Parts: sequence; structure tokens; C-alpha cells
Amino acid sequence: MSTPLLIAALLVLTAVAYVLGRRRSVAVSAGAGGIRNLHSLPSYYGSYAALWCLIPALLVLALWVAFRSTIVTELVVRDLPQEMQQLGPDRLGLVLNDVRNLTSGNVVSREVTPELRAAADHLKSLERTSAAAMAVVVLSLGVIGGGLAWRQISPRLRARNRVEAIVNVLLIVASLIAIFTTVGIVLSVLFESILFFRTVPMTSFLFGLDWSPQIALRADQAGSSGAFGAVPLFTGTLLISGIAMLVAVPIGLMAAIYLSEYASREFRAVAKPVLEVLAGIPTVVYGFFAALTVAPLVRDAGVALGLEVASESALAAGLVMGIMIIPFVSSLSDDVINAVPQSMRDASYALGATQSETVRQVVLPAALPGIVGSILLAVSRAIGETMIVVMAAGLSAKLTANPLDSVTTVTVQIVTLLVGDQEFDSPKTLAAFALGLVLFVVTLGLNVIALHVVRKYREQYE
Amino acid sequence: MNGKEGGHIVQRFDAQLGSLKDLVLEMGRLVLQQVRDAAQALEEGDTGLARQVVHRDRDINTLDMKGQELCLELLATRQPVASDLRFVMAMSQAVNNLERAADETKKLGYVVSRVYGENDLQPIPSLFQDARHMAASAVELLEDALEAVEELDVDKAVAVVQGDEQLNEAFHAGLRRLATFLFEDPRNVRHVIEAVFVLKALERVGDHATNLAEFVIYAVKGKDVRYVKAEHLSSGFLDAG
Amino acid sequence: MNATMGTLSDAATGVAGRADAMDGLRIRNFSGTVGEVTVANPRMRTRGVDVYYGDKHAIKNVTLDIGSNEVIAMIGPSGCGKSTFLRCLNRMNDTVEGCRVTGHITLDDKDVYDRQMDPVVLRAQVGMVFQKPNPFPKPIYDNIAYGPRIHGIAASRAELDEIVESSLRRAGLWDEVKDRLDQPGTGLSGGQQQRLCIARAIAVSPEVILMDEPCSALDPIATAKIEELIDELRQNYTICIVTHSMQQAARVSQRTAYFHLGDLIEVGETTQIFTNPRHKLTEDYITGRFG
Repeated sequence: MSTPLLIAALLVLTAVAYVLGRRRSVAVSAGAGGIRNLHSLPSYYGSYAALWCLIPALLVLALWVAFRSTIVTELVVRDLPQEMQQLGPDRLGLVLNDVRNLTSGNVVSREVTPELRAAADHLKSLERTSAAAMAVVVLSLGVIGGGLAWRQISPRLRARNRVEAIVNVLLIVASLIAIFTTVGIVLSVLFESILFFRTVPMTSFLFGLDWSPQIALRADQAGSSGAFGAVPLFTGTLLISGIAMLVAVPIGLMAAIYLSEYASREFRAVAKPVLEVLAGIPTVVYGFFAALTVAPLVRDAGVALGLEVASESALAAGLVMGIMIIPFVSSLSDDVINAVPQSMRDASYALGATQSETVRQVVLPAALPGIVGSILLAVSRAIGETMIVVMAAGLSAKLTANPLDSVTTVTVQIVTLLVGDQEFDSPKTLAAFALGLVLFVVTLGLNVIALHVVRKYREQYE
Repeated sequence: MNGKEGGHIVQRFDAQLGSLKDLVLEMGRLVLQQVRDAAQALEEGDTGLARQVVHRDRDINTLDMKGQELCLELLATRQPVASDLRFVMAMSQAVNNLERAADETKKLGYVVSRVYGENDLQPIPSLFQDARHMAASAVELLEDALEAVEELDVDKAVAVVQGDEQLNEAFHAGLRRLATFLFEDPRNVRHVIEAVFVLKALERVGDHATNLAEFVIYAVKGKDVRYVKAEHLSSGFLDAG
Repeated sequence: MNATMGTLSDAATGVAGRADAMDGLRIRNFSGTVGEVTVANPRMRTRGVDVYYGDKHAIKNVTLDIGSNEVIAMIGPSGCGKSTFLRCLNRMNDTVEGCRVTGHITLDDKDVYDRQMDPVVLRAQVGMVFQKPNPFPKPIYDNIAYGPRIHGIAASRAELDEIVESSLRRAGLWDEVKDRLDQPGTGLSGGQQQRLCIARAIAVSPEVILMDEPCSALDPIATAKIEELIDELRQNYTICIVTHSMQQAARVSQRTAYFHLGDLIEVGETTQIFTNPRHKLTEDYITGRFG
């Protein structure tokens, strides 16, 4: 019985357990004076039986699937001839691969010896046995679990509390999955970065001014010495993010102020969703907008002013990125400005302040923490942005503060380092993890600050 | 506006105001009985009845205390305003006046005990001739005043206030007659003094009945008419400004 | 917003010859308010004021004088228009969309709804205290200094310090906050916040202070302090207070006005209103017979 089929069978069993549990609760209630004398509603008894049927069986199924291949392989290896077992782990892996291919009827890379054939047959029979055993164990566990729960059902059984406790555990597990995933990502990035820092010292990575992540294939190759100084990437990131924020913060903030304080209800109803559509445009679209429309425009404008502008400039990428970020700033700021109580405005008006005085001296200061929070979120978004920069700002890691020059950013370099066929143990590849770690730390820091600031703001009117 | 105690959103308030009024009416009935019995004891020289009258004053004192407590409770817990406030104040005053009217009947009881109970004094019933008429009209006034309280009827209250004038006239006429009697035979001075006490007490009962009526007018119309001449009282005067 | 204000002043000035109409206190379609609506020394006068929120006729032909140095209480059931009327007096209704005011309102014989009258200047003269204490999330000092700063009342920092101190003293708050003027006003207790709001209103030295249920969010002790403060402020200011608490109206005011469904039903001396109201509706409302 294949695994999906088994799961389907288990689900059917669960449904049966539910129905039976429910029925039994109704049946036992008849002896105790009706459903109102049951501790819980019949559906809770049904769920109780169903959960007992499903969860243990599912757990065993998951464990079984997880360890099956290891155990089966181990058993096959033990039956291989002695000289094959003596092979190194690499060669043994190849042999096992052939055995597997043989069982599934694929092309085999070597001559099929009787030993190999025997191993393949053994593997096949083991897998068949395993599948059958699994089906039997899982289904009987489901029946036993459901049956035990079913037998427990009595009017005094606190099915509701138990079901809710189980649901509670499930909710905790779900939230833990998200946390462990994050932790897993961090750890994997961290370990790869440590590998990287074994070959390249951390100081030369963090403070080196030259970035040319070449690794020589041959010792005599030109430019064979790779340089992993990430400073140009940081400055490029800063430059582009800075330009983006210069565009996004004033425009977004002023849009937010207009929308929340001055605009009529009708205008706001139209303008706010339209502004938020900006956030829904894929960044690739922004990217080619930047590369094909804005970058030539910037270059032409620069030429007209007598400036030398690279065809892929930080300015073009920053401008477009800024536009992309506007809705982040404006939408969040609009929300926090609206969250400033009307009573604040009334108080100001009642003292004879005009509307603009009220906005400047009461509304904005009151909303400032929230606005700062929204800007920090926008910054972390800008730092993490890749596509626009790849397409509009170029790939050359120049250490420059000139917005008209082409620069590159951390994220872009991560992409280029990992694109294509790579050796996973070369410093070039591992550098991507180090960059990723830096990026992660920076954006995490910004997010923590932003969340903290926003929370502080929330407390103010409670 | 109508001074009736009904119609509040808080029905318990209505009930409290109603029980205050019931207490006043019960007290009024007791006082009325006291006046009647005192008059009868005087008429018949019944010292036993007179002693009963004196004795029953305690019941009235108890009701007085109960009534004042009820008023205080209403003021403290309901903070009545407007007609409710006036009603509570008026009932508080009514209780007070009824208690004092009852005190006057107690005095009558003492007079009867002295006059008919002491052996060295030969009673002269003719001296109490005027007292009989005055007692009758005092009873009538008190009855009317209680009716005015019961129905919160301004017209009846005005009639009581105006009716008291006749009682006062009867009192002065009685005093004159007693004076004449004293001139004729000064040896009867002790009898005359007792008779003056009797007339004065009955006159005071009438005054208290009048006060009751005046507080009814205050409760309903919101006007203090205690110092307004009786002949000026009319519904036109009460409704003006 | 500006559009609303435009129509407002248009509507207000649209009444022909409004300045003349004030002469001789001509009362348009006298609505039948019971009691004396005029006083000998009025600070503010309203004549035939109607307020509409869209189609809703919120205030109907209200004529009322507000005397100098008096506390006048506005009472009435919810939605009777008492708050709306209050907000007409300093044109706070301007900020409400769809609100239209007609009729005449004067402050010291100057037309409040005149085109010449800047609502900003008006509101400096007619201050307002709101139902919920609403101090700005700024230091206590800046809360008080806010009004004087925007109106340029203080020439120097020292003068501003003096205004802040005297306002807080008048509001009976100085001793409680003098050591923490740099801490946020939102950190005070509810009663202190409300007194801070009163101090803030006083700081621009208004002539009239409007109070919209100033104690409804406060406990009895804080309420008593505010009431004591109102009593003291009467020496220098005219105070209009809207309140849901009839006992409060009885305690703090000299005159009381009863509103019902947008009509001014009765106005009179507070003692008279609370011992012997003349209108049946007033009687029923204050005695708790209102159905």
C-alpha cells in the first residue's frame, strides 16, 4: 500500500471514528438523561475519538517514512559481499545507487553482477515488506487509538476540555514550525559563513575595499586571487537605499498626510487602494521599468546637463526603488496618523490652531513613533530589494558615493555568486552566505527597532 | 407638574414616595381619632378615654420618627428634585405638623384628667361649650386637609386654609366669653385657665391642619403660601408667574 | 474641509442684513422657550440659531443669552442638541462635515459667523474643554504653552513660563505638577489631565470657556475638584457647561437651560429649575420621569 493511499485510508478511519464516537456519546447520554447531561456536546466526543485515531497513527507514519530508507539501506549493505562493504563511503554510495537503479529498471552504470542482482532483489523485497508492515501498523494503531477513545466515552468524560487541550498543542506546534524554520535558516547561514571565514578572515571581509570574488580554476590563471572585501557592496547598498528613502519618505509621508488629514472621503477611498496597488507590482516589472525607461532618461538628462552618467546608475535604481517603497511608507503612516485620536485634533482646534499647525505640532509628533516604524520597515525592504538593482544598477562593485555611477548591492552579489553551477565548498559560494548573514543581521536589527518603536507608540493612548 | 408620585422610570422611587404618603395618611387618621376621642372625653368627662388619648401619643411619635427617616432616606438615596423634592419636603413638614397636632390632643387629655379626675375641683361643663364647636370644626379641617394630601388637591387645600379663619374667630369669641365669665366670678379662675388651654389646643390643631394644606399647595404649585392672606388665595393667584 | 467652511460662512452671511437684525434684539419666530432667555449683561448672544447635519435638524431656532461671569448649564437627554449648541459657540462645528449653522451668534456684539471673523481668533476667545481629558502627548509645560505659542502671546521664554505657571495655578494643578513639568501630560491621573486641559484653555486667556461634559470620565473626588475649579473660574470667565449629571448642573451653575430634541425648552435660575420648573418636559426630565 503506497503512502498517499495509506493516509487516505487513515482519514477514512478517522471519519469513521468521529461518527462512531459521536453516536456512542448520544447512546450513553440516553442512559444518563439526555444530551444535556453529557459533559460536552456530542461533536466533541466524536472529535475526541477521531483525534485519538488520527494523531498516534500519523506520528508513527511520519517516523516510519523518515527512517525507512536509512534502515532499508543499512540492511541491504549488510547483505552485500564482504569486499563491497570494504569500499569507501563514496564508492559504496555509487554501488547503492546502481542497486536502486536496478530495482526501478533504470540504466545501470556498471556490469550487472549476480551480487548486484541479489542486492536489488533484496532491496525490492525489503521495501515491499516495509510498506505492508507500515500499512498494518499504522491502520491498526488508528483502530486501537480510536477504539480506546471510543470505549472511554461516558457522560462524565471531559471531551471538550481534552479536545481543546489537543487543539492547543497543535497550535503550539504550528507556531513552533515557523520559529524553527527561522532558526534553521539562521543556523545554516551561520555555519556556511563560518566555513567561509575559515578561508577568508572576517576582518578582510568586513573591511576590505576590493570585491572580486574570482577563484582560480588553474593556478596560473589571470586575476586568480579572489578578493572578498565587502565594503563596496555595503556602500552600494547604502547609496541605493539612501536614494530610495530620499524619494519614498517625503513623498510617502506627504501623501499620507494629505490622505488622512485633507483629502475628502471620496478621494481617499479611491487614492488609497490605488497607492497600495504600487506595492503589488512585481519587482521584476519595476526592474525593467528602471532599466529600460528611467535609466536612459537619467542618462539623457545627465548628458543634457553635461554630466557623465553611467548607463546603469545607482540613481535610476534608487529612484525606482523609492517609488516602489512609497506605498509602504504612505500606507503605514496613514494608518498611524489616523490612529491619532480625533480628540487631539479637537483640542488643538479648540485652542485656535489652524489645520496645518495642528498637523505639524500635534498630529505628526503624536504619530512620529509610528511613522519612524514605518520608515524603518521601508528601509529594511529597500536593503533587501534585489531585482531592480540587478537590472538597473549594474554588477560592478565600485567603491563610490557618486549616484550617477553604476554600483552593486549585497543582494545582487548574492544572486550572482549563486547563479550557475557552483562548487559548494569554494569561498566564492560561501561568500554569499556571509553576505546573507550580514544582510540578515541588519534587517533583523531594523525590524526589531521598528517593532519596538511601534509598540511603544501603541501604548501611548491606552 | 402635577405633583403626583407616579411615572418615574425607577419604579421603586414611585413606591417609596407612595409609602411616604401612606404613612402621612395613616398618621393623619390616628391624629384625627385622637382629636375626636379627646373631644369626646371632654364632653363626657371620661378620664379613662382621656388617659387612652395621652397613651396613644406614643404611637404617633413612633410614626413621626418613621416618617422623618423615610424622608431622609429619600433625600439621601434619590436626590429628588422639582416636584419630587417639594413633595418630600412637604411630607416631612406634614409629619412634623401632625405630630404637633397630636401633642395638642395630649394636652386636651391632661386637661380632662385634671378637671374630672381631681376630687377637690368641681367641674363646670358649661365652660367647655365653645370647645365642642371648635373641636367639630378642627376635626373637619383636619379631615379636609388629609383629603387634600391624599389627592394632592389644591382646591381642597385652599378651602382648608380659608376654613381655618372661622376656627380662629370661634377661638377669639370663646376667649371673650371666658373673660366675661371670669369677671362675673373671679373664684373660677382655675377653671377658666383650663378652658383657655382647651380652646388654645383646638385652635392649634386647626393651625396644623392649615399648615398641612399649605404644604400641599407648596408640593403641587411650588409656592410658599404660609404668609399669604387666606382671602388672596385663588387658583388664579397660584398659577400666575 | 475648506469647502465646508466656505459654505458655512456663506450660509451664515446669506441671511440678509444680519448685523442690522441684531439691533433691538429682534427675535425671529420665537420658539416658545419658557423662562427668561435674555440677561442684563450678556457676553454671548444667540438669536434664532438653527443647526443642520445634512438633513437632520439638530438645533431648532434657539435664542439664548450667556451672561458675563456666569456658569450656565445645558442639560437634556442624549441627542437633544446641547453639545451641538455648545460647539456652535466657538465654531467647532466647522470641522464637522455636512454641518450647517444659520441664525446669529455674537460674542461681545461681534458676529461669530461673520466672514470677517477668523475661527482661529474666535477659538482663542472661546476656549473649550472636552468630555474625555485629551492632553497632547507632550510634556506638561508644552501642553500649556501650546496655545500661547501658536498665538504668539508670550514675547519671551520668561513670559511663557509665567503664563504656564499662572494657568496651572488657576487650574489648581501647580502644586501637583510643578516638579515634573517636563513629563508627558498623558502620565497624569484622569482628574489631573482634565484640569491640565482646563489650564491649557485658560492659557490663551479666553473670555468664555465651553465645557462638554468635563467630568463624565472622572471619579467623584476628581469631579468635586473640577466643580470647585469651575466655581473659582467664574470670577474671571464665563462658563457654559454641558452635563449629563443634573446634580452637577444644580451644583455648579447659576442658570440652567433644558434642551429637548433640538428645542430649547426652558431656561432659568438653577434653583428655580430644580425646585419648580415650569415646563412639563423639564419637570419630567429632571425628576426622572422621561420615557
